[in-house]
Amino acid sequence: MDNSIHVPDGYSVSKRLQSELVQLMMSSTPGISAFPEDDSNLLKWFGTIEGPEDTPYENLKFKISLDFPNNYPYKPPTIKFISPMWHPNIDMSGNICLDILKEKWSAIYNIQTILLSLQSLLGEPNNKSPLNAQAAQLWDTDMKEYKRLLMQRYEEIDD
Amino acid sequence: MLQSICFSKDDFFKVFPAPSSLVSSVGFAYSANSDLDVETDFNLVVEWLSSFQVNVSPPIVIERAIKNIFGLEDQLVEVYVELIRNSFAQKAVGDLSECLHDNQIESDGKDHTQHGETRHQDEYQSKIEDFNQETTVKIIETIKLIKDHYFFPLRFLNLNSDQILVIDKSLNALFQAVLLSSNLNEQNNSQFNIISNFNFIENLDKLYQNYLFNNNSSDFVNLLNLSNILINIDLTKNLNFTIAKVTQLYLKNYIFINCSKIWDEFLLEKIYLFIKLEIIPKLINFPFLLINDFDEYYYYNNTNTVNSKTSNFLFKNLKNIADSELVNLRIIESFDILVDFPNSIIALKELRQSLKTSSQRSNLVNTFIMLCTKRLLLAGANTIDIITCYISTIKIFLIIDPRGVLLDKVCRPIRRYLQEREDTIEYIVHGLLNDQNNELGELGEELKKTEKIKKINNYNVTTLATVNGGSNNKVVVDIEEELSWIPDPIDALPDFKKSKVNDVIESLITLFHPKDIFLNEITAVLSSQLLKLTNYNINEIINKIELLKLRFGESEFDSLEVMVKDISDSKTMDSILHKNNGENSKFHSTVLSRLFWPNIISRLKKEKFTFPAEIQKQCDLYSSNFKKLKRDRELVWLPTLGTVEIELELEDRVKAFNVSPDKATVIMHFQEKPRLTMEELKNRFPDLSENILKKSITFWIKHGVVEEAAPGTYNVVENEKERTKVAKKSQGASINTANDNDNIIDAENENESEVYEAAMQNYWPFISYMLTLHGSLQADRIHSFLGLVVPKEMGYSYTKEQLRTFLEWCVKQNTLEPVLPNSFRLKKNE
Repeated sequence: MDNSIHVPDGYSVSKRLQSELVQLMMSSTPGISAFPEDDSNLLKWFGTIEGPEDTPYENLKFKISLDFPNNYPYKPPTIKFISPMWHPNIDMSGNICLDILKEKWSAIYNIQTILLSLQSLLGEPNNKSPLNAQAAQLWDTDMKEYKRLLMQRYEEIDD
Repeated sequence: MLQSICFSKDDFFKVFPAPSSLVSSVGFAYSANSDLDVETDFNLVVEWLSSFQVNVSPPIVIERAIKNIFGLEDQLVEVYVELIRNSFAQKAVGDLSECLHDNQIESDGKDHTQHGETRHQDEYQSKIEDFNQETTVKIIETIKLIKDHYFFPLRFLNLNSDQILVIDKSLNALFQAVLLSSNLNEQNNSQFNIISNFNFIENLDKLYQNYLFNNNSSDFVNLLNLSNILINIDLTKNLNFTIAKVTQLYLKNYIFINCSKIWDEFLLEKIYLFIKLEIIPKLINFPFLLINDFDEYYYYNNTNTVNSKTSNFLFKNLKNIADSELVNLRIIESFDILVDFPNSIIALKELRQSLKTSSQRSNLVNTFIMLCTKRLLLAGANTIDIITCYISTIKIFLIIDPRGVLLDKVCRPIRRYLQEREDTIEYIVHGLLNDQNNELGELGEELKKTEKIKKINNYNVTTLATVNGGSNNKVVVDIEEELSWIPDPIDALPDFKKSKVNDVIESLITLFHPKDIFLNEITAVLSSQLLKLTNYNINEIINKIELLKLRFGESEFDSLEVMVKDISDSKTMDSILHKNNGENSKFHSTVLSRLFWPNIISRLKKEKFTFPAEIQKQCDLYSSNFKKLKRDRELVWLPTLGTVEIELELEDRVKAFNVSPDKATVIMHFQEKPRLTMEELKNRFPDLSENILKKSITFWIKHGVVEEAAPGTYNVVENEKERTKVAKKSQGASINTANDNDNIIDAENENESEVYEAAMQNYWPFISYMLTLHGSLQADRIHSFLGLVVPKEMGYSYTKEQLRTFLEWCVKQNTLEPVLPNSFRLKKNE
């Protein structure tokens, strides 16, 4: 892991993640949620994102995984879709192409903003740099076919 | 030396030629046949030796015969020794057992007359001992007679000192055989068994015990005479042993009687003086004995001479005995010394001085631990007492052993026990913060000392840092530690760390890992102290926080800092509001930041009630002014947290109280109507729970302001004197009060569980949030998740059992539902 970025002394990633969780919990933003996956590791989370209204993803719910580096938030977390996904900027194994998770990452982002960005990405894909070319093409041309293929892949999350 | 020599005539003269010239020159009658004459004379002498009478000189014939056999003394000695051996069994043993026999008859008689009566048992026992001692004396005296008897003929024989020594030795060997018969095997002692069931050495010990340090000088002279006899029959070694044993016992008794329970004065010097004045003057009378016993070297250098060297040597030995006896006594007393600390500090210093061997150390540690488990680490002991003892233990063992090794060992069981106690932290924190109970107040004092220690350390570090040209601080500390590094003491346990045990506070703090539990408790206590303040004076608390920071680290008290800032901000704001708006000068407020006082605020949200109208007016005015001052910020009042100073004017007295608002409000309602029933009260306070209402009423009843006229009806007591009269008249009322007390206790219990549930409510958002994502979870996993995700400032310090109780309570409240096995999930709203 790249540790070249200076981390202040006494900084604790767990403290930060705990306070972000409280923030996320208290704000109770509809449609997004996240929580540690394992009761012994605070760096590994999973979350759910509900599709925004008036998009093909409406009423659908997707599961994602969030892996935080030790020097979070100075480095972005690694985020993947665990639920099978059909989207121009998400590949078949769930990898996401989103600038704020890569080169445009900034320490002012937090889990809540990441989840919100992902949620809006579902409704507003960036078709200029697609990972899934077919989806990008269909999004512009044939929304019916797009929805059909999406539902073909979609799996409901079971508790 | 005593080789058996075959005694035939031929051999005899081969070895020793007949001294014919000498014999003839004396001119004996039998000179014609000198060979025959010598043999006859020899037989004559032998015959006389076997039948002589004491104090009767031998007849002339024998005297002549003795002269005639000059030169045959060695052979004569052989024969005499043989004679003694043969006669000893009859004569000597007979005499000795006679001493014993007299006694036996007497004691048998006593046994029958006093049979069965325990009261006489002791008397009887002491009589037996007297008899035994008399017997012992008699035996020794008889020995002297027997020895004198056998030595009588020797003066008429021309024996040299070596030959006499041979007889002496063989005679002594016989005496020893009789007296120490227990050491012999069965066959040999068959002829001596008459006195074999009388333990001579044991009784000798008792005899010396009674008379050696007796102040009666004639007894002592007698004892000296007896000792000489015993030395004479070569029982020196046994006598040495007896005297050494008796002396040690005497010294031990003296120490036990004069030093037990005396811990506040120096005793060693006193004991040494006692040795010099009481013991040595007596022992110096047995110089040969003692020196021989204590050190061969002195035996050869100072034989039979009494000089200052001997007594110095004796003193040195006895001093060592005294030291170790005192240590033994103190080890047994160790726990009482701990309880008496710090009054027992002198005893501890002496213990340190006289504690020398490692066996004594381990004995001290083991005994102390044993006493602790027996007397302190019990379910019945108060936690406060255990902590106090733990603190004392640290202090006293640092006096005894400044290296801290013994301390490290004795601390472990106490620490382990304290860790099991649930209220340990609470008491330690209250002690540290010098809150309410001052039993552990010394902890607060210890904490104040911290400042000095740390300052010195910091000073060292900073000077070094400047020398090194401002390099990283951590490195400097390491270097400093390395320079002053010394190896752990050799008897230390592997994980020994001096700093961990020798500092009282550090030692208590390290009881629990992680420190969070402490921090939470400290925050809780300090926040309630802050809330109790009525004058915004936070200096003392700031001092405490600064001291705590030195212990726990700068960054650990963030939320406390905010709390303190809240109070000081409130002070400024309050004075501004008063200045600007001319508020009622008696009305003040404290503004709290909601997020940083979580425990208190969420708990109090439940207890809502409305102020009386005039107070509420004040509140509203204050709120609106506040809103003007701090734009767009709303005040939410927490009525139950405040304090009210009230003055009650009754017919015959005026009483001032400082109470919580609910109590003040309750009593205010009696102003309008002096008699109220419980139902009326309930109607007037729809927000207030019955518990709180009852509590307030009980409070006023206790202070004699209100009385319960009939069950559920309450009166104001306007005139106290009248009331006491009434109370005397009707005794039936007391039954009612008793019943009520029970109710109140129940109510308090209920209240406790409410508080606890309220505290758990803080974690409910976490639980429900994790269950929305995880579906269903086992109670144990919920527990560890809470431990993982709840931020430090909030703290999660409940046990699995407490969580489970809460979860089950949630099931009852219909917010959760159980899923097998052992799991819970959110109840779906249908």
